[in-house]
Amino acid sequence: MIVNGVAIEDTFAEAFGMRATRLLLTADTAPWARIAAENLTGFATSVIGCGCEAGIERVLAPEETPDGRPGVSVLIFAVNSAELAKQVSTRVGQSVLTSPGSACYSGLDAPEFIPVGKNLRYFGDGFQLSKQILGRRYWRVPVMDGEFLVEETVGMVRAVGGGNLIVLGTTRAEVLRATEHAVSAMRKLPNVILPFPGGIVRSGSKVGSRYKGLIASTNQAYCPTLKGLVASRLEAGTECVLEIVIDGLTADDVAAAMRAGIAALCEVGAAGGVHAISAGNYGGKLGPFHFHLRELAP
Amino acid sequence: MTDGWRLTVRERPPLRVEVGSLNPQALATLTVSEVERLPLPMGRRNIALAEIFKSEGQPGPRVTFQGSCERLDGIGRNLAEGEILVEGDAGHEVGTGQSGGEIRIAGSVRDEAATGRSSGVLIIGGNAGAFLGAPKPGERLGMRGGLVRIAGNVGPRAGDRMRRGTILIGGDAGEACGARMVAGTIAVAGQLGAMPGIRMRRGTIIARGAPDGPPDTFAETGQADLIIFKLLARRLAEMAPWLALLMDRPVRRAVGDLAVDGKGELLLTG
Repeated sequence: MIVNGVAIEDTFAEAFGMRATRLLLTADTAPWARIAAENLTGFATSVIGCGCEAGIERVLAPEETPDGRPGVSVLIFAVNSAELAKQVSTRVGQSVLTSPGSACYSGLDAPEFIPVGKNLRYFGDGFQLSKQILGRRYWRVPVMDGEFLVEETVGMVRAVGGGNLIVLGTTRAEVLRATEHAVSAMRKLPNVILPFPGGIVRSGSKVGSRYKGLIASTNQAYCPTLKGLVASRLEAGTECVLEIVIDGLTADDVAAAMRAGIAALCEVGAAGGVHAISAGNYGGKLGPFHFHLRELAP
Repeated sequence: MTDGWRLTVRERPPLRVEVGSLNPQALATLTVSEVERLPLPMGRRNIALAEIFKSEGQPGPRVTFQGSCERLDGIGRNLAEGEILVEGDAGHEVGTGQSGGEIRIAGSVRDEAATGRSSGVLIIGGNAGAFLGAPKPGERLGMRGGLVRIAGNVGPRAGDRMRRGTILIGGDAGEACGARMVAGTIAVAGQLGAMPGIRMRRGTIIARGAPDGPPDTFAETGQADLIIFKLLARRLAEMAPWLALLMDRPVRRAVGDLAVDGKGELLLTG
């Protein structure tokens, strides 16, 4: 299947069940809301080494936030509810509580929830106050610029992590430009994040390693500098491969983001340096969610 | 056709009448003649409902009281679901023990409205008397949850021993508003009477002003710009649009009552 000179491989992305939450962070100004969100979602590219995958979903206008201040919506994904609870409390405690003027609210109404303010209130050392508004409890923790306001619990849902697109093309500059274009199309969609730096990962990995104890290592089949040495998946002329990883609240959200990404890459086309689009999977035996590229192609 | 019973007072009763038993659930399975025979306490005796009310309609989620209702006490007593409307004033103990549903009074109510209630919505279009949201006689705690909105003024000791929930007062509050409060929120668009929040343990009282100032057992903590009240104002914007105007600037905050737990707060915005 070739669209605008781009070969869409007959393969699928294999994704996994995760647990996720959405936090709404607000601050006195939009830049400070973003600073809090960027700190919260920093070092959260992959559950392999970071404990969670997190990213900014979108920027919120003041009228969209609970307290009428500028805000940012953030999604956080982890492998199970205990790890998600640990990551959220630690990250909000270190990155949002500390950020001037910040407040943190639940962005999901879900039957399951994890504690946030319930844990962080103890920073108030007995001076913390709680307030219940229309059935939801908030904690007011005294801090040096006033109060840190944090909701007692945040909603948690079952979600899907690990949707992906692998972009193969000519030069690093051209493939990066094309992938950036896809990222920008995908980031317009709700309920998804692209957790890697700028939404793009250049170090695609395989499971395991020749070194004992290393659970993931470089995927040599996609490394252009190893083309003549290993069983490479790259054809002559393919000198760069980049990947976009997608986590979403539902399989439909991940599929919608992949569809938007494939369309954007095909729009760039062979003329823009894109040779092919592929996807990563483990033979379909590990993850319950399979996203077939050709079903998502324009 | 109404979606429930419509009870019209024929003429102002000679004595006070207890109508707490007339709620949508209790009337759900009755015919017109059964409704007309319901006994209602008036003074020292019981009278049949038909002696006071003209009853129309059929079982449904709403009971509407019409006519001269100011001598009817206990309207909406222990209401758990459904809706009660009063197209005028009502008597004592409106919505006492309410645990759900909605009560709307177009006019004013007398004393002890919303006492000992735990949930639901109570909306009063006029004024309310003393001990709004206070404990029922013999009980330790006042209002334990839900939302009460009064468009006008309230009498003394509104929110006495209140445990949880929100009271929104569109006018002024009488003396000792929020006295002995355990927790919850009282917001007053106008002025507070003397001794606001006296012996309050936790909770919040917001008002435009308190001419007599906070009691001496409160500590002033200076000007505060608190996010929680921006949130509160937005959440209650439909119920109390004036709250956003009160909270759009830093407010004077006093914490107390230090004679007891001392975790309550008085926010004065004027």
